[in-house]
Amino acid sequence: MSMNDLFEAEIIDTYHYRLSYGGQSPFFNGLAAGKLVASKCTGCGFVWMPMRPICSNCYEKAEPLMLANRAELLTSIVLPNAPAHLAHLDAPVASALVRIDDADTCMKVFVVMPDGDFRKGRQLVARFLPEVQTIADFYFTAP
Amino acid sequence: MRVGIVGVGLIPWRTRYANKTYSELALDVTKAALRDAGIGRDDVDHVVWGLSDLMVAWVRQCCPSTTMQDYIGMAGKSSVHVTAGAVTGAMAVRQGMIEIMSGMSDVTLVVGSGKGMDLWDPDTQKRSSAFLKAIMLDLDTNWEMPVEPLAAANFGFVVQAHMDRFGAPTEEQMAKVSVKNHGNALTNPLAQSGMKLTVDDVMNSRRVAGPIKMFDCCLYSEGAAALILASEDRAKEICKNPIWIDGAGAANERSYMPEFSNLGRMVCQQKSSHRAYAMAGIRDPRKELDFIETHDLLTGVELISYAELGLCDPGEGGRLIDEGVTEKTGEIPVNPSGGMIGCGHVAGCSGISRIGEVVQQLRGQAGGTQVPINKGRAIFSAIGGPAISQSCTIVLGAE
Repeated sequence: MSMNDLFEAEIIDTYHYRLSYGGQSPFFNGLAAGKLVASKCTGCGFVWMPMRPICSNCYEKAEPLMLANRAELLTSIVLPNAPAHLAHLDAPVASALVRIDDADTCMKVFVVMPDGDFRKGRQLVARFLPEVQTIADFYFTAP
Repeated sequence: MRVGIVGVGLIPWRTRYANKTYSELALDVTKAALRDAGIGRDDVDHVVWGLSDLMVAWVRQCCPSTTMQDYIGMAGKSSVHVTAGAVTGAMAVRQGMIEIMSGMSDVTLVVGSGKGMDLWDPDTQKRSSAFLKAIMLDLDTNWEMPVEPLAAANFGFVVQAHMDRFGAPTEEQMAKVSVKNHGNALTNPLAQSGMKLTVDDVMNSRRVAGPIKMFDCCLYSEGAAALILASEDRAKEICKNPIWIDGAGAANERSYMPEFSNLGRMVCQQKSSHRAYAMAGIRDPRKELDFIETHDLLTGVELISYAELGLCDPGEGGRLIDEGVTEKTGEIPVNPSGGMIGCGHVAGCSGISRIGEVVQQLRGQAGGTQVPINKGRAIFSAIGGPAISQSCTIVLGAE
């Protein structure tokens, strides 16, 4: 069969979601209030960030815990272009793994560094955007 | 009970098979594998489908195995659909092995096909951008995808973290892997992208994100592959030279929030390979294997794998490529086929295809990619999942 004989159809599928974050909703409610909400296991004391209502290590209940809005940069991948919703900051942006102070887990976030210095170990503070839908709606930057 | 591979069905990797549906591709490789084994479809008891979860986005089909089972002439037989991101193919072979070892089947077909380039992006007027958007669905959609706008960043994180932690590999060492794998693919008639490159070519290619440049990345492809697995007795009846599955290991780790001690490592691959080695009785893989095929989604990932697979200590992968240890003519060749960087890759059937290439090597039928077989053993090790959180390793051996 020649390429000219192939039949191609243009099909458009569109899905919209009103996505529930379920038991992890307190994290997003926290973002909307300018706070970072983790959870601390009532059994083993492990601090989950982002929060989980049940500890995945021991299955005990984990209670919400506010963390300070500070973190340490662990590693990062600098992006060639800033995501559209952070373009107004006019600064280099990286996808990064950070350790938020007092958390026992690391977390993937956007880091914005006006000086372009994304060295491991840099201290960071959280900044919150006015509209919260996803974890992209906050970021870390230099203090 | 041992399980042998008695039939291999491979087709070339292509950017797009516009003239074939995914079912047609699966039929092509099924027929090829049956022909290679010298058996008919009535001899097959069971089918294991290695089909990516991304088929939902790629071809608008949630359970393709049910429709494809009929198309490849296997209606009426039992089947199972295995899906595990980029580890799908290796896990499908592991499942086929389990099916036979359990005594449920004597002969099992393991088959997969993948088509992602039917997607179309009307904004860019390209298929590739739509495909790259779709594969982001393999990340954790709540906790990872919103802050990782580039597909290469997900695995690139591990490479960058390895560099931060161990001071290696360098970008030049990564480039050497690209030169090696594209070069190895030149002699592989199934390869999509055999090229004679220099380190400068790689270093000067377009920077994608962080340390990752265009020639550091594997290809996105369409393709299919099939294997015929058989119980020990049936394998000996079917052919004179079955290739035995001597070991299989798998492991998962935390995905979007890796443990601090695992940063820059692919511990899932260390665990999967060591479990497979233990099953096969392998103590020193560098001395007991003829060659390795591994999942080179990025050049830096292949270098990290050298340590996870037991060839060196963490952080020393770059030294091995500098010393030529993993070249096709080196002490232990890695990806003599050209790997996913040189041959092609689509989650799902890639692992089945790569295991097929290992089988052909161990049979001495690998043509231009053939490496010396002295010890009679080799592995394929797959990695994948969000942030490289899943792995499966298969040890294969000739009699």
